[in-house]
Amino acid sequence: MKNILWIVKTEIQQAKLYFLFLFLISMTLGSSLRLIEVSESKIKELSSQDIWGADLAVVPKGITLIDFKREILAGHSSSLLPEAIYDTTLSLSNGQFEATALLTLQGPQGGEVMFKGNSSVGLDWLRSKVTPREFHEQNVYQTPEWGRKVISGFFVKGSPAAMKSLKDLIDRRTVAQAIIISQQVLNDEKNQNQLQEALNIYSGVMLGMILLSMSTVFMWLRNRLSSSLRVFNEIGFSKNQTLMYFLSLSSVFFAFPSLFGYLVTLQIFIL
Amino acid sequence: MKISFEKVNFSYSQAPLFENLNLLISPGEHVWIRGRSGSGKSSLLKMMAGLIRPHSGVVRINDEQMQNASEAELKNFRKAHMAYVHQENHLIEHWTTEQNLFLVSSDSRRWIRLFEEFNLSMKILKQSVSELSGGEKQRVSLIRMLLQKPQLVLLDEPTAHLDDFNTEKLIKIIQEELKNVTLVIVSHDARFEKMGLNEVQMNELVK
Repeated sequence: MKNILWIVKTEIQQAKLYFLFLFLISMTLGSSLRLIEVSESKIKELSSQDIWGADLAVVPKGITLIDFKREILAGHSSSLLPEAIYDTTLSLSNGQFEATALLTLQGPQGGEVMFKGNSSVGLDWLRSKVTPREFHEQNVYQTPEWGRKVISGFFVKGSPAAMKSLKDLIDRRTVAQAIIISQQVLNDEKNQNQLQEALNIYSGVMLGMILLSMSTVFMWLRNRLSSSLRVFNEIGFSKNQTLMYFLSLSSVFFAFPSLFGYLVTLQIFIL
Repeated sequence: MKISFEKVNFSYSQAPLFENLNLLISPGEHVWIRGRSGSGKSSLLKMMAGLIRPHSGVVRINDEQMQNASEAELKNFRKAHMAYVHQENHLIEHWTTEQNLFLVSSDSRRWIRLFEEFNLSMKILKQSVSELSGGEKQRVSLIRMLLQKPQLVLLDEPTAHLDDFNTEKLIKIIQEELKNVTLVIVSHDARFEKMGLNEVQMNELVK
């Protein structure tokens, strides 16, 4: 009678289709897990700051509240506003609102933010995340129109009526746009919940499909193995030989291909 | 190899299948146990192979009590001395014919001779067993049995899927190849009458 190695080799030769299926299933599983993981972290990033400590954010056109938050934390601004917008706005306040201008910077310790004006407006939430500094002349940002007199944006705090009229004024008359923070936070949360819900449904469907495919493949494999084991039992395989056969096949038929498929998937995603 | 059953009782349910069954098969004897379907022929064969155990009574092979043997001892016994060809042709369906035969013997010259004797095409060696016809599977099972060079051969309905031509061939080969081997065939196939085997009627055993 042939040895276990020969028998395992024969089982492998006769199971090419199985390996292909298992490889595809583990690829699907790996890519789905990775996709879910990445999507969840991206969805989390879509979350607006819960407490901004401000009512209005004035930012360059095309920049969303989430972009603004991301840029402050990263210490880099992709678009800028003239410092004059902030100065003019403040001069129009008549005590109806307070404001703080920000300019994001990259310091030796990571993200920094230079601020100008009332430091309590829109700054409290980011004190633990970036280093706040008093505004001073900087050499990092310069534009042909405004020179070095630029800011990333500014936060404003005031009554709802004052914020509404300020928003209308900024949106219509300046190169900036004003975002009423409470409304934007609600919109962002709604979008985030919808995305999370879609991701949950996708995860459920993928899990169901993978479980179904795995069960089918393993039922098929079990039938094949029981056919082999019945013959081995009849021709007098010992308990140890049967155990060796079972352990070898478990490794060859399940552990290695699944791990390989999963690793290949991860590699593809990393690349 | 001598086989004896003494006052053996066995049942699958409440109704007894064997009651006080006695049977003696001498070493090298060729026995044909015939009987109607469901009379317990296959169960009798399984008991000889140690695949089922009697509820009471004694089954001896070469004066060794089978029911006292452990599973491991029975397996070793089957491996060393016995070949059992089932009615359902227990072959590894997803393996090729060649791999099924290679499992028990690498003597390819002997395979080729047996293939010719059993009127089988060499093409089926590379085919998966699941692709073979019932008759081909039956003949491959019998070739595997012969390759095991056993001292005791148990055949359960070995001609169930064979035509007259192949049945005659089988009978001839069995008589030649298993001259000094103890052979027990259970079958209701009347074509075995020609073989000159010692005939045992199942209904006489279970009376």
